[in-house]
Amino acid sequence: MTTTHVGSKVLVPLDGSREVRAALGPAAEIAAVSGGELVLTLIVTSSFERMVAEFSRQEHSTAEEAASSYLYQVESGLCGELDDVSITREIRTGSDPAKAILHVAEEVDATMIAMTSHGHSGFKKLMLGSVAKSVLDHATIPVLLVPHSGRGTQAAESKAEKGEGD
Amino acid sequence: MGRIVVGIDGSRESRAALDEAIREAEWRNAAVEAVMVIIVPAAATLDLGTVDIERLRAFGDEVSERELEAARERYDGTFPVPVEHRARVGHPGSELIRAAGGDGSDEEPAELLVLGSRGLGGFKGLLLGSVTSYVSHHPPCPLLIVRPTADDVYAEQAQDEAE
Repeated sequence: MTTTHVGSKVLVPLDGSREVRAALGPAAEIAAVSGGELVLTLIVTSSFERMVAEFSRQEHSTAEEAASSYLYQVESGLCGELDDVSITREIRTGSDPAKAILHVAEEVDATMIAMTSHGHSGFKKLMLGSVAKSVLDHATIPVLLVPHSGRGTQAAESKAEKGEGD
Repeated sequence: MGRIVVGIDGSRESRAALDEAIREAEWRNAAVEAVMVIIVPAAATLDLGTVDIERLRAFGDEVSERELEAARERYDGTFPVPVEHRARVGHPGSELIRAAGGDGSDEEPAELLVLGSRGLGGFKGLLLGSVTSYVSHHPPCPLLIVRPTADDVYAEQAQDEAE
């Protein structure tokens, strides 16, 4: 087997929430060191549309526009660190976001999907949201799970939530 | 040099995980640490006098050395990055977490922990193995979960036929 020198094409599903963005750093790092690409993906679902309607300060005529503006904002936030990494944005609409994410991954020939997990600490008791879980269960390419709290802070976090239980 | 830890157990999933770990290590100029965990049945741990941990570890070292030898063939005899192997004894989830610098470890966190989506145990149709599931609930660092590709399946079939 020869080692390939084609860079890693990492797809990062985003949904407008801050939590899922934790995967961006490690995903960008992988894309950067391998001379690969980053694919920012947002599936417009009815909950995204609701979020836009409630929280968006700007006027958007469609949820797709809001999605586009959001991804552009995320991309600009990354650009400082990533000179050689090509970043693309993929927006789809669908009622089954996990399925849509996997479709995009196939369409663009992604070599990895990067998502955020809560690990066992964090605010949610579930390790992964249902969409992330479904993507993990059905992906045929490697899936990177980035702990939301960041590595090394686990001990501090479990102390903080001692009363919460598991 | 950074390190990437990969769990191996002889399954084709862990073979795919090892290849992925090597790829990641190449890009980051890191070393790979392949960890095999020898499971000790719960009953045995209650009476440590009858379980020779060192003997089990030595057995694990032998098995993992053989795994790496087989893997080295796929790289024409030489890994492109430093690859070490280490056997541990105990609960596979906890030992892998510890190997990657998680709770209970003195070591620096690994850059990445790579695991197959499942290993040798479990049942057909299981999407995510219990060890990978356990580790994903207590991640010591970013965790890369790898499924075997069609190539891995064909390679394994060819190996089975040759034996």
